[in-house]
Amino acid sequence: MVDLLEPSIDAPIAGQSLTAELGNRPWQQPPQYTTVEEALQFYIPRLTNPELIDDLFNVMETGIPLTTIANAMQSGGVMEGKHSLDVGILIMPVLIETMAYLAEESGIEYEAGTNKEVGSDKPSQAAVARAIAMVKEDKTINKPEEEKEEQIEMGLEEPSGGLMSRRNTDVV
Amino acid sequence: MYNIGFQTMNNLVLPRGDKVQKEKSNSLLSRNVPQNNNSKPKEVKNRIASYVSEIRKARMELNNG
Repeated sequence: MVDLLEPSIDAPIAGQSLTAELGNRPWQQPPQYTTVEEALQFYIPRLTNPELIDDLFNVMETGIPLTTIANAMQSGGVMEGKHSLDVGILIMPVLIETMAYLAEESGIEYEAGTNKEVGSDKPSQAAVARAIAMVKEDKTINKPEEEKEEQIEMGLEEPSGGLMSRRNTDVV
Repeated sequence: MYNIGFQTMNNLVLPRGDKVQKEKSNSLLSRNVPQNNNSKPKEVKNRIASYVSEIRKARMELNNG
């Protein structure tokens, strides 16, 4: 068993899935809308509903990407047993595009969430992590010249060149 | 973070503009009798792409006035 460094707080409690009878949950039943068109007929009128659209615009104006909103919508639909997860993922582009259309029609600024950040000054987290890893690796393999000179001055032993000694990459 | 919405939008292949096809004769002695592709049902991904394309086209028209 893999030991986690930090306890996962979001994880379900052990046995939580057994607290309800199998088939009692909405997502364990056959979905209400089985095709993409049926699912869209369920969602599009709700998106364009004047009573609900203001709330949607408020969420958009907070800067939450449309991709995230669409994902939350379809996840909710799956949870309620409206459609399957496959249908939910398939209809996501239509939901995103519809929300973008409605926002532009009403002059609402929104974050689509479909564009990669190009030319931004801030590097991505992955790039930073990779650079740090490379620097760490470089430090362990190639110690700086100054550090070596200091060691010699302090009278520390030179690394031996024996067969069983630790490999030194600096030796040519 | 893995964004499923970003993936679905990026993997969507939008249909190209309608190609103007030359009319071929339907006579018995013609080289190829053209098949009617319209009767063939589209795949789900193609249907989704066509829906997205239509909405995007309307959105672009909205922006362009």
